[in-house]
Amino acid sequence: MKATNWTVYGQELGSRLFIGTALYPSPKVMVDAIRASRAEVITVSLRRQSANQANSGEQFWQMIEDLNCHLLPNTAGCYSVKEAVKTAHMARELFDTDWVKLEVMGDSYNLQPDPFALVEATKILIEDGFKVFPYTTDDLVLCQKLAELGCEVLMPWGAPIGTGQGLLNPYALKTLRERLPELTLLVDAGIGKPSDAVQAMELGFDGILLNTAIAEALEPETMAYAFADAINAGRLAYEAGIMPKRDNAKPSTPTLDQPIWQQHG
Amino acid sequence: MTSNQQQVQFNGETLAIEPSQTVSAFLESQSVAGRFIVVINDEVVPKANWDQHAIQAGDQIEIMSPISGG
Repeated sequence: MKATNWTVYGQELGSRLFIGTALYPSPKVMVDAIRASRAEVITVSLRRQSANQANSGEQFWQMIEDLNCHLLPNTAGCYSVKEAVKTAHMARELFDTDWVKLEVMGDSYNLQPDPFALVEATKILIEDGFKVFPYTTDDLVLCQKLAELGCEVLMPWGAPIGTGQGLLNPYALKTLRERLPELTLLVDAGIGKPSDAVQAMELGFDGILLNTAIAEALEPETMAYAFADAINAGRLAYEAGIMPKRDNAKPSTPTLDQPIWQQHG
Repeated sequence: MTSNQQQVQFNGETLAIEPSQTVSAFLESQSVAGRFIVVINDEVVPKANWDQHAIQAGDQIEIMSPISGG
């Protein structure tokens, strides 16, 4: 059984997994893993050609074109509003999409987003007609501000990029889900294993964006299958309605009409 | 470099080119192909303007290409 379809900035999607295109051991492994993941959105980036690498992006472009996925360009490596806005504009021209995964880093050690620059860049890019997917911390007030600016999608981190530590602050993520019920929320970054993705989806997150956990698995294609199934399972569980936790045991076998010697008050 | 040539920066390297060359002519002379955009002095030059936009001496010309990303 498959979880319900969803909509991202007006685009209906079936898969709730966004997958990155970096870090795979080879281009073929990347293509096989992305196909296995059944993802319909892939993240990409851009860079200046060096003098001795003319046309180096062509092979990559051909591969991603063949995948026939929606493209979500990022602004990776940007540490200022100016850099991020400039990169977003270049990405729009290069990839012919107004979607942008907005990354404005504030700390090079843990790649933590700069919340102040993120808000400023988001404001500019929305005014410039972009559909912004901000990579953000799980801070409620920051996320509320991004929503006020017009973001329909937010992508809070589970843990710092590439750490695979899972959801370090489930309380904060649960709070985001409860307080921003109208927003589309994806956990982006920090997912290490399929059970981390299940946990996020059971909290009511709409999707997951990940890269390293699949690309750096011993068998990326197999791991992509695992994540696809896990994300679907987590979403189905959320849609089915998870029972509340109780402090006291409650028998699952009916106790009515038990023999008298089995009745314990 | 001949007397009437002009210097530009192309993907970080200094290059001498013919004066008043359009972006289209420059790209052809450098055999740039595939999926890319042209950025001159930090501004994207839309493809529709490549035939008209003349490169100036001292311009910083960058070719941006797709790469993998997370």
